[in-house]
Amino acid sequence: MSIVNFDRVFFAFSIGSHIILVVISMVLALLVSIVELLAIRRKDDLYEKISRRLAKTLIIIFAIGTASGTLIAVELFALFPGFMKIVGYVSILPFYAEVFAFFLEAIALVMYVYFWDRFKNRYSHWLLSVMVVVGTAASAIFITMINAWMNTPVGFNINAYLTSGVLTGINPWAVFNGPSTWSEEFHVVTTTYAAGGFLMITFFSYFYLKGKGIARVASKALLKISTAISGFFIVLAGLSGTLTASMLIVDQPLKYAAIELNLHSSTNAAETIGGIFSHGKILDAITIPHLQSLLAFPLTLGKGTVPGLNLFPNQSLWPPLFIHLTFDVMVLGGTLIGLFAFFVILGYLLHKDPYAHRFVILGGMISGVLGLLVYESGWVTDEVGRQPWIIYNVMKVSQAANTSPSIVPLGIAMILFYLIAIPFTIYYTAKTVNFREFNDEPRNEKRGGEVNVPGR
Amino acid sequence: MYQVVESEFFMNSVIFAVFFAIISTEFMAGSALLMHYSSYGKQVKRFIIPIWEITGTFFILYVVNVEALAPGLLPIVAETYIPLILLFMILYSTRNASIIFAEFIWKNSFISEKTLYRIYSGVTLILGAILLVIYVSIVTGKGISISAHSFNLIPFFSYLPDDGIILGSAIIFLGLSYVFYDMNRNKINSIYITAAGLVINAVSFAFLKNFVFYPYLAIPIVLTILIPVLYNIRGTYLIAKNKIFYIGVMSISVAIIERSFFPDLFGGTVDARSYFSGTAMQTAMFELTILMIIFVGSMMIFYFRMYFGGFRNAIRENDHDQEERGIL
Repeated sequence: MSIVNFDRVFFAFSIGSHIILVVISMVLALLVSIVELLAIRRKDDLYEKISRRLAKTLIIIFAIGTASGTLIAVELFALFPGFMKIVGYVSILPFYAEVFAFFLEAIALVMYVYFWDRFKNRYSHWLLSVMVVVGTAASAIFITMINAWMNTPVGFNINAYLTSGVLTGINPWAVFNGPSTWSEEFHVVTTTYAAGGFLMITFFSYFYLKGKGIARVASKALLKISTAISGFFIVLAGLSGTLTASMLIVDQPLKYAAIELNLHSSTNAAETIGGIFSHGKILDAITIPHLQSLLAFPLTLGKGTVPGLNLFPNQSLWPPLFIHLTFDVMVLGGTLIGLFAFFVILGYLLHKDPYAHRFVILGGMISGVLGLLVYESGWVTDEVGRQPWIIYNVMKVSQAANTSPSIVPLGIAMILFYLIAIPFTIYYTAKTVNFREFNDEPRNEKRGGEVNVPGR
Repeated sequence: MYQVVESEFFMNSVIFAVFFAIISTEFMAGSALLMHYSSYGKQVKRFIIPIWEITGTFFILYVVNVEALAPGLLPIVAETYIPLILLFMILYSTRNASIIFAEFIWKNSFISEKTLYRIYSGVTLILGAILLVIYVSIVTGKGISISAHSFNLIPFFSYLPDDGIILGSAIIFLGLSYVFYDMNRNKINSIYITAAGLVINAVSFAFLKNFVFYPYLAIPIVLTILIPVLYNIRGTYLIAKNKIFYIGVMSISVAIIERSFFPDLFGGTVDARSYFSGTAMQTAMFELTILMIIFVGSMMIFYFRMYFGGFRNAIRENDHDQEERGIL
């Protein structure tokens, strides 16, 4: 493997691991905020206990996520210095703005957890949790702006740069409103909350299954809230996905053609499910006539032209076509978990208790794993779909990469570190949540929990 | 344009100075926890547990600010220091993991809270050493090959002023840790130890020709020794051990030292200004940095108000408790 490919794999592994923590922390922040609001409004001790316990979990995830996020920031300039050089001149403001969001999140979360009992007005304390939610969401929004800029670069004279290598006509603010910025933002934020919501369903289904007494009641309450969160966001995720596909047709037609495995442009395109590209043909695929055109142009009932790979004869610039399969996993998996959420919410609307059925609990346990697979598949589709470019049609990964051989041993060490750290963090966090302890505690827990510093 | 670049460098210095001052509280915590865990561990943890996550955020702020200030320097720094940077990141993650696990570790676990804090302390001290090695080498240029983008530790450590600055800084922070964490059994030691570190640092700086004729380097020396001296005077004891006072004084000292070598990097072979972007980005960054300082400053004021408010309450509760038990 070349050093450039090692850089690719190393970074992909790092960010693929990091986004698991991001997904958990974003939805956990939202969950803590909702639960504390319920505790205040209903004056409910159990919700109070749960919110304290989840806040403790959130700060653990945040601590490991901070390390992992810093690692990503440093890896970006260490592995791809050529890329970061252009970013530094043209589009670094979202990175900088992300630090604002990060400070908001860090300071608010630390005060929220450690100074819990110093707030006489409970709503003031709750507002800190809102700041944490805003901070986590804003971090994701700002970092996605950089990704959108990589897909559709703006803010400098691209033609002049390609001919002379000199950056001119720089507009540092353009990155905040590029052609793909807002459709990508919409999709990333909604899918992140949806995937996180399903992961929470998995955790709490497990706790519900294993729990007894108050622990079981707590798990069930959280299952209900998590289902509402994931159900709401999975609908928005589907909508945003359609908008993103429409954006791709205009701004990244090659990526669109690759993920749909369109060999030729068409005005009446069938949806291709599965299949592999071999010797100029697609093998082993299922096709549904006209569906792709209908999904791509829903407002005109399918009237429009979808791009094909034939428009791009230089095959060396094609992305690897396995992204068609990751795209399929994303769409089919997303549909399945969406149907699961729909079924459970329908149960609640009919005043039934869907989680009373064991098969629904088992479904819940699977939904989070599937949700994460869907999320990672979507991310792979987006990133691999831009290859071989790091900045679309401007800079290739090979032009940006650090080719120092000393990266390899430490890179392997870091990958091993992730392989140990992520599962251990999840184990540790699950152990810390431990609602079973609620059964041993008096129902009316005195405020001033164990995480208070000073005086803890 | 040049003026804006200078202003942006000033901002970058301020960010670095505050970042270094805040992270130095962790270096001091590391030495305190390693040497005096049973006697003073509780009061060290009382400060460090809530703030260590914020310290890490200052690190990210500084890294991004440098990326924006001098994007042209990134390939040189990335390729030259890649092994140290990756090692730093592994240790940084270990630091985060060990302290958060230490905080919430359950009873009868396979690893104790104390062991985890010791791991945190050891790792933090190594992180401090790596940071110093990188910064000192950027100043002196020893062991660096600009053309090959490589860094060799043997010539770096063979140059005595490099060793002196790192050793001197470590001793200074050891001395100051007695003040910052109020380890008052051997108060007078803080003066001797800090003074010893300052002497080593001053001699090392004197050997670096760039620093011989900078009279205002006396300011950080005076400010630094002032901290333990005030700590040993009854009337000023409370001022000296005040966390904000330390961070303020240390920030000023670091900013002056940083200013003294600007714009020469790598032993004077590189002029930092030639790498500054000097484009519209510089102006945008300048504006955002001002906003950032106001925003983060306000948040930190809020944080310290909450921290000291609770701290005072804790002291009051403790006094009340002792009064009831007839101790006071």
